[in-house]
Amino acid sequence: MDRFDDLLNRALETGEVPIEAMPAEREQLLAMLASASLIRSAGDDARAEASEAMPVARARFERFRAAEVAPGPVAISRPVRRRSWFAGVLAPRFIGPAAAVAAVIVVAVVAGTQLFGSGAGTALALSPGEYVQASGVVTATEDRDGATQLVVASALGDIPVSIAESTSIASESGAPIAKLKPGIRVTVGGFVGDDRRLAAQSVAVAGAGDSGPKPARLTLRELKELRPRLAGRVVVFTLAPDGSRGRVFVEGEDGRAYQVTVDAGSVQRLLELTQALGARVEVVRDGTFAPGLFSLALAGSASPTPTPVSADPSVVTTPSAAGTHTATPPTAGATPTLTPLPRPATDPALLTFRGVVTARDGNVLTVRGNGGGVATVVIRPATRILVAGSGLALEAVVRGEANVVGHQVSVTGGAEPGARRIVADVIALGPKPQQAPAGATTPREPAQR
Amino acid sequence: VREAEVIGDDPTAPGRIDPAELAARAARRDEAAWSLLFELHWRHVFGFVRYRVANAEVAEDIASQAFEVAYARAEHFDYRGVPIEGWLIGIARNLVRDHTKRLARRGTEDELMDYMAPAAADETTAVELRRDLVEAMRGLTEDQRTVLSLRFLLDKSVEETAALMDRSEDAVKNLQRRALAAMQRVLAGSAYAEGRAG
Repeated sequence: MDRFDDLLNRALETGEVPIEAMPAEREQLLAMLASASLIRSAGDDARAEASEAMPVARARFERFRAAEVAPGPVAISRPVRRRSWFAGVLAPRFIGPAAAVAAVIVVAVVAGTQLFGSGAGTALALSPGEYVQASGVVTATEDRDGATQLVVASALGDIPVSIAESTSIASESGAPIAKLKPGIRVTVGGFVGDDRRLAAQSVAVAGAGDSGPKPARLTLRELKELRPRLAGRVVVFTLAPDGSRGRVFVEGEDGRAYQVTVDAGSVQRLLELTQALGARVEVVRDGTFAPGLFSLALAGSASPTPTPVSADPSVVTTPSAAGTHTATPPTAGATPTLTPLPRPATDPALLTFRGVVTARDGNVLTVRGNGGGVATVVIRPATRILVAGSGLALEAVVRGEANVVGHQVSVTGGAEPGARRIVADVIALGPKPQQAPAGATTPREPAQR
Repeated sequence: VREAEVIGDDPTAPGRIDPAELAARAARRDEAAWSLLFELHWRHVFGFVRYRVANAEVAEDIASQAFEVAYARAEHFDYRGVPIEGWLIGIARNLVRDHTKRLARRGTEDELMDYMAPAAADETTAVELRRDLVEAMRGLTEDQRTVLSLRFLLDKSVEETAALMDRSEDAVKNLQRRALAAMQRVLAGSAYAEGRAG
């Protein structure tokens, strides 16, 4: 090898000019080291830009692959299991008529997006492992491989959804759901699989299978920099597999639609609402957040002022076009509570239940509701657990080592088919209220997750 | 992050998957394999493209196209010791070349230097660095650009660079010397280059 090549390579590896270099060589090597240093410095910038661009690029690539292997049209067809007792009996008692829900959708999404400021067309897809909650209209159904497959037209485009035996399906009216047919309006909560389908955990069906117009498909922009007074209505939201953050799709009041990456606390506050979809939010930013990460806050001016109702001061109601929604008021020091605002009357809501954990036995929680009722909540392996604001460590909760008894909890999910229990899709643990509930017991064995 | 480390941590992979197996899965358009390849190589492909084009948006678009082209041609990839990353970078290099030709044909060569307006937080030095780096890169041969990108933008070792370029290590060392000498000549008048040299 050439002597100078060797000297240069050693200089690049060590950052110092080898001592045997002659003065002329030394001068040349120093200049080359400076050039290399400049390029390395630029490389740091490029890596930061690459990381910033990665989520959108990943989504674009996923959409590209999905389009390459897209299945053929889905045929129309047939009934899906029904269920009912919970919506008709327990739900009204515990969580109010608006939450006596159930039925449908599947998500695997692809939507056109635009990079903020660049005008470049990009794609967005829901990512495998994400928990997704979306509303829409069933446009096709098919029985395949022992499961019912749906296509749900949503604000993000068509979402393929799989309905399994374990999927909880309920009607807002409490009526049995004999058939998930095209045209009915549903809200679906579930997890995106590797096949891009939304594996529905819980489905809420509007009324007794009411039909409705398909939502207009939105053209989304990924929010990279905060825009002043950006507020709008949540149309879809997701939670990352590790629960560290989520994505909220907001139909803005400025006529545009945005994909906003938010912190876990924001998702948790959304889940604490009786109906997260349709909530009016304002996008804010914490100065300590990484670039591109935002938070959600109550969009105050347009929100009706919550007023206390019932004997339970922890429950407030907010009038809406769809009826009365309940929301837990903020605790001291907490970030602002979100308030559900008027939403399309045909949007069904998934089952939500809020209260305080009074006992834990393995993967089963007993929860005393804010209204006084008691519910049994089942944690499934796929259940996402959020601990923001609880002071608990997620891993400790998952392993059953943390005592969750006495903590506030908000459960989103559905009724377990054939049993009188709530099956949790997402559990959001909050802080302990000032006084632990009477009759609280300690955990007996680790929970599954 | 090295490929083997990531593969070893991949919960979807039953045991360790060697690059040849990953390539075989990619050739079959295995979804998990392509998801993994994207996670492994996106930053490198983007970094390789970044200082050959005007701004980050164009780099993102071209890097994305590189993955799409690779996926579309997956069955044609022949794994014989050449890393998949090398294949992706080769595709990206061709796409950059096509992009540059298109701009030149349209008489919009200046777009290469037409950076997006720097964000408020950007420091002037950083912006100047990018601008001068792109300009300096334009004065190099393709092989010189490639070796500088791999060695210093992507932090590849000489051995890795040799594998990616399908050259000997001695050839890579020789190329990097010529490339750095050419860069140094272009940047000789740059104030920050002199400052950093000290």
